[in-house]
Order: sequence, then C-alpha cells, then structure tokens
Amino acid sequence: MTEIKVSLSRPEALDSRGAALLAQFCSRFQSNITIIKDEYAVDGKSVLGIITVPWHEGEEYLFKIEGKDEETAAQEIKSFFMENF
Amino acid sequence: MLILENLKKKFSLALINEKGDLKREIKAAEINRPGLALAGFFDYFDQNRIQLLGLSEISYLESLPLEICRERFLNFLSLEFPGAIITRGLTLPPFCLELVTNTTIPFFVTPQKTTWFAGRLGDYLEEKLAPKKVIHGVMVDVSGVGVLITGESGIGKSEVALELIKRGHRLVADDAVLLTRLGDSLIAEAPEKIRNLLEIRGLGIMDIKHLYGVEALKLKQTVNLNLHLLTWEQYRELPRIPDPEDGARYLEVKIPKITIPVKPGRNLAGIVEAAALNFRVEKVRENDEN
Repeated sequence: MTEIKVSLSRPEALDSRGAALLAQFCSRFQSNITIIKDEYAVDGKSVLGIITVPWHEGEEYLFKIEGKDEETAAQEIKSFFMENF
Repeated sequence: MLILENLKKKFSLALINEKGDLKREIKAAEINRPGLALAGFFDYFDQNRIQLLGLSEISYLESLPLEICRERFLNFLSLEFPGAIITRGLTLPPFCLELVTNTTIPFFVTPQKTTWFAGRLGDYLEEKLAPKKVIHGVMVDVSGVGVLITGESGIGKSEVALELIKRGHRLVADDAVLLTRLGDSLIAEAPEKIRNLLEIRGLGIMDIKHLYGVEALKLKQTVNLNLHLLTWEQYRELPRIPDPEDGARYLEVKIPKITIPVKPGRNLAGIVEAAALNFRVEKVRENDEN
C-alpha cells in the first residue's frame, strides 16, 4: 500500500466536471484508490464518491493506493492533482 | 460542530440574556438537571452538558435566603457549561436574572414541560453528536432489509442496485454511504450532495427520483446485512470460506457479513434478494423462538 498527501489549491476546479476528470484519471490504474479526509473514506474512481468529500482550499487530502501498479499510480495521481486542482 | 444557535433554532428557544454567546459548542449528548449543583454539591459536575432548569430547580432557588441563593447561583455560573434552558416558561428569581444578564453563557426559556422537553432534546443531541463516517459502498432497502453492498471499484455494486430498483426495491445511497451509530444500530443515508443519484460507468450519473420516482428511494435505513462482493480470483485466494458469524464492523457496530464471488452475467440482484429474504426468515424464526 502506498499513501500520498495532496493539498488543494483550486477548490473551484473540483466541481462535478473536475470530479469526473479525477475519477477518470484514477480509473486508469488497476489499484484500489481511496480518498481520505476526516470521517470520509471514498472511492477515488467514483464521481459520486469524490463529490461527497468536502473540498476546501489549502487543506490536505490523503490518497491510499493499493494494488499492483500502486507506485506508478501514486506518482501520476499526485502530479495530476497538483496540476489540475 | 453543534452550537447553541442550532439548538435555539431547532426548538424555537427564546434567549434571555443578550450577551449570551450562541457560538458556544455542545460536546455532550447528555443533559443535566443542576439541582445538586444549586444545593452546593459540585463533585462530578460535567461542564460539557446543557443544563435544564424546571419547576423544582426554580422553586428551590426561590426558597433560599437571598445571600445564599446569590452565592450558589454565582458558583453555578462559574462552571462555564455550554448553556441552560428554563422550561415551562418560568422566570428566574430577580437577582439570579441580574447575574444571567452579565454572563456570556446563553440562557433560554421554553414553554414546554421539563420531562417531555428533556426527552426531545436528548434524542436530538444524541443524533447530532452520534459518531459518523462516510464509506465506499452501496446501500439498498431490499424488502425492508437494509443491505450494505461493499466491494472494490468496478465490481458491479451500482449495477446491482439499479437491477434491484427495477425489481421494486429502494436505493438509499450509491458509492458513498453516510453511516451514523445510534445506540446499538447503524443508520445509513446518502450524503446530501449525492442524494437520489446513481452512477453507472459508461452511462454517467443518473437521477433516480427523475427516472423511477420517489418509490425507488429511501432516505434512511438501518443496516442489517453487509454483502461483500469479490471476484472469483479474490474469492479463491481467501484463506478459508468466510464465516457469516465473523461479521463486519462499522463504528464499533457488528453487522452480519456475507461474501459473494461475482462473475460477469451472474444474476446478482437475485442473490441479494435471496440473502435479504434469508435474513428475514432467520429473524422471524428467532422472534418465534423467543
């Protein structure tokens, strides 16, 4: 299992379209991806899951990645998140 | 976070002291009737609790000699509890009222009777302050049995939910389920932002209320059963056949768990229905035996 922490700088980009982009990107990988924030633990490949999370500027979010391609997934998701959100 | 302003709104309470700070936080679900504190006994006084003053507290204060009453009431206020509510529309003795105007602890009054109000307030606080958690899964009401379907992404949880809706069952939440522990039970509902929604990969997000009507939805449902879906590959790798007695745990509540291997084209909705009916039959049998 690999864990990455990302910080959100553009919460407005994580609207339903942004959530769909993130879910689509996470779906490229075989690994299971869980986004964790406080009492929330949702599926990174699910648009509905991502929408549910309270996204606030400057806050940190934990991505738990588990599977065969977790190393690559961790790296790529981190740069994708920092680039877009 | 639960603050006194929420309480004021919920129960239409009237604030007595203007200085009362409505942003004060409520951390305890228990309520206290401060009779003992007013009598001068402060041991074990829980400062996190809302104080409820009824007829007995008010008449006790009125029965005290003025100086003692003042001193006791000052000591009571120094305990910095989140807030106090006076029931039956009663008024505090004048000198107590004077002390209350100068404190930032909000004091409210309600016309309701003490015991009845305490019951309602207790239920409200317990629900608001109950432990909560949002998890990945799909929650459905299958013939009255609350079934929480879990399993990894893409295994077909939402597809099963859709098939179950078609068969007349009801969706509670798709992909993210908000769980609340109330007493010994676990209550599931959809997080507000995704209420009525269901996502099918390839189709996108669908509004179930729009497509199938309110009949296909349920707002809240107790979790009775956890169905965990696995691929045949994962199922074969399990160290042994899972025992339903093992159960799943969410927020410390144990829920019976059944693990089901999934194959494309397998009639999962039928299996979920059978599992729910089986659960009901067992419950009925248990009831009959008792």
